[in-house]
Amino acid sequence: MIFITIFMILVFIPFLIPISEIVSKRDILPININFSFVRDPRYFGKSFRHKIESLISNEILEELIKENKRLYLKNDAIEFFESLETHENFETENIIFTLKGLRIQKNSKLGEVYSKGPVYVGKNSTIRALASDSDIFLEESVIIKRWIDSLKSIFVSKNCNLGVSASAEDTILLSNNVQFERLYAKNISSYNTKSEEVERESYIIGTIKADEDIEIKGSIEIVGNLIGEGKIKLHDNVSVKGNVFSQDSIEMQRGVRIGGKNKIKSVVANGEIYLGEDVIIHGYVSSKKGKTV
Amino acid sequence: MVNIIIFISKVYAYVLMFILLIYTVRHYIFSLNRVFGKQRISYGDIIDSDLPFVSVLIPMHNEEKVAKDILISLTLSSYPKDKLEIIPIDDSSEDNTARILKEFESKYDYIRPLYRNSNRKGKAAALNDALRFATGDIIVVFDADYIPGKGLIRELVINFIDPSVGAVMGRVIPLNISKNILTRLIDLERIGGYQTDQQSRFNLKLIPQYGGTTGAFRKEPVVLTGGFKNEILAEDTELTFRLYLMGYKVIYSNRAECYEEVPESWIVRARQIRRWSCGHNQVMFLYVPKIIFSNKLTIKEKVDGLLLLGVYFLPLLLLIGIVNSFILFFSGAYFQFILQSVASVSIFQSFGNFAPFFEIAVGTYLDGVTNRVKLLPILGINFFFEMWFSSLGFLDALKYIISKREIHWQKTERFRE
Repeated sequence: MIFITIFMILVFIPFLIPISEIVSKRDILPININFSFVRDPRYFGKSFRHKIESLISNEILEELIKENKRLYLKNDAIEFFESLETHENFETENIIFTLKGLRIQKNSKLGEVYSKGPVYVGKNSTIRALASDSDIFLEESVIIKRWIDSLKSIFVSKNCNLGVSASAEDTILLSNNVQFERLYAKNISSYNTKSEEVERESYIIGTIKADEDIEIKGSIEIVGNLIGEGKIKLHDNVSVKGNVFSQDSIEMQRGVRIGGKNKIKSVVANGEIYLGEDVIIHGYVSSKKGKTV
Repeated sequence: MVNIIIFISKVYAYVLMFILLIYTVRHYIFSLNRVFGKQRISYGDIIDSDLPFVSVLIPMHNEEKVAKDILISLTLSSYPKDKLEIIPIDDSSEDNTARILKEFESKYDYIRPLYRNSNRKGKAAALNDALRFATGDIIVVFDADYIPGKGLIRELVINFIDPSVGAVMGRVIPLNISKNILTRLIDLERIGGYQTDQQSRFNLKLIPQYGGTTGAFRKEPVVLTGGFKNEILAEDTELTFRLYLMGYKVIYSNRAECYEEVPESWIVRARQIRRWSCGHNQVMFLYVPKIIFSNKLTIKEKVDGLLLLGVYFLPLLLLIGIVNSFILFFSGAYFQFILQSVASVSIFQSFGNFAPFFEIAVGTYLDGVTNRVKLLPILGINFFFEMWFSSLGFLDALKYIISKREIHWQKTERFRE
């Protein structure tokens, strides 16, 4: 009898934990799906602007600026300025809002920033997130920790790090040795871009797909997509009118052109992306780690 | 005679052990790949201003409880409406489904319902009729109880920029899991099946399965090869293998998520498993030789394809194994008995259900829902339920193959209030 009892207890033991979960119902909600999820490369900037603008919609902006009033986004204070020029080594955790221009002097350290006017960021500064309704100019060695978004253009000096996402309505111009993960603009250009079109030696119509590495040389234009399971290397002056996708890395050398005007195409790598000089991409770049070389 | 039975019984124990071992290794590879391996990405990250024209097909038979929900959510889709047509297929409904469809048809010019009143009922027949009507090159299919999000169609369709992609499968997530213990167990199986199993098969370039809903396929190869087979209950599995044998691939897109309603009653679940098992095994009978001799599949794909087709045959083998255990025990073949008993323990642990326990654990970890993993021991009991109805499904498939009788489609009952 005692053995049967012990046996029954041992059989029952594994079910104690599930029974506790059934009774407590601690994890009973379906896995969350974001119904409104749409891939938007400018999501960060749009969402941030929306949050700030919905906060100040009931306030008179001039009053906020004149009276030096602060509003709060969750626990973060927002400081309002007509325009602002910080001193060197300026540091703040508050959100900075400027109605006109913003000039951040070198070696500064800021959290989130939203400017309705143009923004100049001095060298060696670090900003968590930066949105501007005008142009943004980043001097050397600026670090963006999360994202940067402009309703016009972003001009990036050498040795900058653009964080997780950099997006602009019009142009992103990248100097040498700029690090990034995702870029989005009608025109993404690396340094030393030339406006004249290279004459094409030949055209390939249709999509190219390979399970191995792909290497394309010569002033060839591919009127289609380029898809590779391995590395993709585009030598000087190659043009791809469609998307470029690699499960590994993508390297683009001098004069490479991706997409075309008034079209959005993508360069996506499940690894690294290297952009040489005079590379122009019309659309979107996504990588684990990208760099201009 | 007795000796022959004991001999067969011993051989069966070894064979079963071997088969289980192969499946166990396969699923450990999947689980380890999801945690430690390199994850391939789908084409979902691509943003392209040139999108193809798409036809969305929704087979419906007496779907008044759910029809409005799916149509409303599709009208909210971010996919460009000038490149979209939605074709709800009213398959001889006797409730208010047709009235609801007419309501939407009058409001939205891109909703173009198809009203069927054919003797040939069922999903495959309905899809075939709609394929003749659809103008898109890419076909997206949703079951009527699904609720697609705003960006889901684009997330599926963008994968067709690769000309070798024949079909795309998204991830299905149960919505009504709080209803009872059955819905919670199905939720665990889905997590293991999609988050771990499907994604790792995609990572390893094996055969991710097109699941017939929350998925999309190229119209041309399907139509050219005669559309969906009316005589097969698992038209999705059949299409997966047909596409692979034509040289196409199936892509699994883990980010293309959609809610579904899962059965809330054990009777409905039993019917569903039996139907799935029957259809899956029909495909197995039809495709095993074709897979073995195909020159379009890699060795890896062939092995995975065969193992995938055996998934609903395995429960019958295990059921026979349990009976075999008695023969071994009473015949004094204790070594083989213990061997098979060990196998049985591993069955509980590895094959408690369609997704083994460690795959489910990995899936819940990746999804960040680790509390529900505590329910795993109950899946061990659920295993007997699924083993029984999967085995019946196998026998149904055998019956259909031998008698060549016409298949009767049984729709899964809806529970939404």
